[in-house]
Amino acid sequence: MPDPIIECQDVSVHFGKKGVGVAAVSEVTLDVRENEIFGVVGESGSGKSTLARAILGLQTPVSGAISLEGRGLDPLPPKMARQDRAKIQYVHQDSGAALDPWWSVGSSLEEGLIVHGVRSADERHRRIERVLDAVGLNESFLDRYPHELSGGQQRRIGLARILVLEPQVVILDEPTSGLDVSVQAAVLNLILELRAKLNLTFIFISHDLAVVHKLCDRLAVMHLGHVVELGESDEVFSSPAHPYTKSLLDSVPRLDGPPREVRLRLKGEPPKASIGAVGCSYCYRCPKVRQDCSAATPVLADIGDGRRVACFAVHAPAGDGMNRG
Amino acid sequence: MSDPLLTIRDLSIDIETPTVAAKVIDHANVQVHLGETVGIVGESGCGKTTLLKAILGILPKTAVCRSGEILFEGRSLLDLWGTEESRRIRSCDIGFIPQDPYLSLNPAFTVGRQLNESLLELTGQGAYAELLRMLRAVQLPDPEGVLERYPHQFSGGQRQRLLIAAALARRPKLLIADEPTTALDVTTQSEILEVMRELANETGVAMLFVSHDLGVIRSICDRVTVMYAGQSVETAPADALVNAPKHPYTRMLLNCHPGRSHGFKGIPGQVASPLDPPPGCRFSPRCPIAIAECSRRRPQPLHPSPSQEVSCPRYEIDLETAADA
Repeated sequence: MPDPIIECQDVSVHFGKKGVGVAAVSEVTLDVRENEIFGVVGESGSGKSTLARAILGLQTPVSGAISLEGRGLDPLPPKMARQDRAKIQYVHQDSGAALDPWWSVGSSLEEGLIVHGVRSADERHRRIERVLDAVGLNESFLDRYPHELSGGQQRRIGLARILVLEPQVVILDEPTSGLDVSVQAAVLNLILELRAKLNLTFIFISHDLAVVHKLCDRLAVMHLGHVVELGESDEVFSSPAHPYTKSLLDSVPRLDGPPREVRLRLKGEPPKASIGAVGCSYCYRCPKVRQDCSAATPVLADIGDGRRVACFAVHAPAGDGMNRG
Repeated sequence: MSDPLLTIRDLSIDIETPTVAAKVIDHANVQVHLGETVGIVGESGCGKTTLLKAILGILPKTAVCRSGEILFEGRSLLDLWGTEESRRIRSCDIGFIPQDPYLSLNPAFTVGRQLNESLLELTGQGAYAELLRMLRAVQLPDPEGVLERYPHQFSGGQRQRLLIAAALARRPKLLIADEPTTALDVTTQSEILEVMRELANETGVAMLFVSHDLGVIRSICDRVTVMYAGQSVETAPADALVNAPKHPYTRMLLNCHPGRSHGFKGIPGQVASPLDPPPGCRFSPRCPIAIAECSRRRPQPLHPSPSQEVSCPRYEIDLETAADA
């Protein structure tokens, strides 16, 4: 098994105060292994992006620890933390909007290198040239402006912009949202290619489950700040264990298989993830809810083959002591 | 089959700019029969939004109709343009559900007041009873309370339900939905689609449902028209379209779906620009089975079966063998 490159141990991120605040990320424990593509899926408000921001150091967790290659990142003095965190980079959701419209592509690509202290202009140009080639563009793009690029090309430049910094871990936040399905393939193939070529590790945040299934080696399913299921993506998709994962997968409109089948669908609006809330975040609309679900919060426990699930009904199926509520 | 409720026949629309005319719709054909749900599917730039705007009569002043007609119950909407009668049709007979539920409600007014706007001729008890009926139809809990609340007090899914209620208030014969679930999470999307299906069944309203997501289209539509760069390229029953697509563009589009192909497949090339569209079939520059004839004349619609229409003379030719040859 490859070594974990990023580990999160009981990471919680809260906004606001106890009682009125929101627990955006609650006691998340996960590990991302070297050279894998790790998916994070969940609906809006599930805490995917906040978790990414915490890993980047943009959001201070109220508790828990994040480490890169076994070294803790939080207790470091800011200057050192900044150096270490240069190894983790983030690609914005809409790279086109993240590029300055007044800056040529070349200046945008160079900015990061200047900020990170690459003094030699020759060195900067060498790195930019190499990365442009890696993302399938050429030097003619250096003098262009963002509006002269297509959506797919903008995503490539967005990727190139952080790749010049030679990161080890790249966090991709919804890299294909807003792209047509005929264009997104090029971006996804590029991610696979870059992983092989540059030995990169990716954290892939997405709500497009079909893409996550195909692209990611492992994934974590988030619901209201909690990771409810984690495992190999093929296995999670073929036999989802957590009731939330099941309903999430069932909600995806399918191209193949029986149409308009009567499915187990989610009912009701999600509650707020309040700080200090007790009980499973999903118990309000879970079809398998029992009495103990609202009394205590289930922990993410191993159920074999590296699959981890946070659900009492999975840990101890009905009849094993606990009665149905 | 009964007479069509809505017929778009041979419609061409140009948007004129100071220097050049953008040919955004090119001889498009769409039909909607009473009580039928018809999907329009296509990628960015295929003209689906322009088509809806043409039906609703909300095209910009620079738009010019070059050919064809839009018939609603046998009467030409383009001829009625600007008359009191076309206002009546658009306010009473055609309902509209917009794409973004976050942008389509005024944050400064209560929901009750905004929904009331769609019931101009009713006042007092009559209007109130009608509003409650609509809110129950879209399955919002506590309909009385809903009317007193402001848009920010609702989630995205609830707001989309409000907009569906507003669209159905006048009991229209045709409901036009422009990507109504694109801004929503998958679980919310499946709930909204369920509500729309149920209402369509109960009220018998016909629907024109625009989406870029073939899975969504398949789950709600009876028939589908595929558009590419302003041309309608294929029309077929939803299942036939997904399982046995005919037009090369439809076939390639379905192959882009991650579940349908080995690896990630895209469509090489870019969508034709409406400013300078290729002559003949606009897909021909990207089509692997195109011949010289394709870029000379616009292909005439063919009928592989009575319910199917495809604008490609070479639809029987296999894409793979043609690419290898």
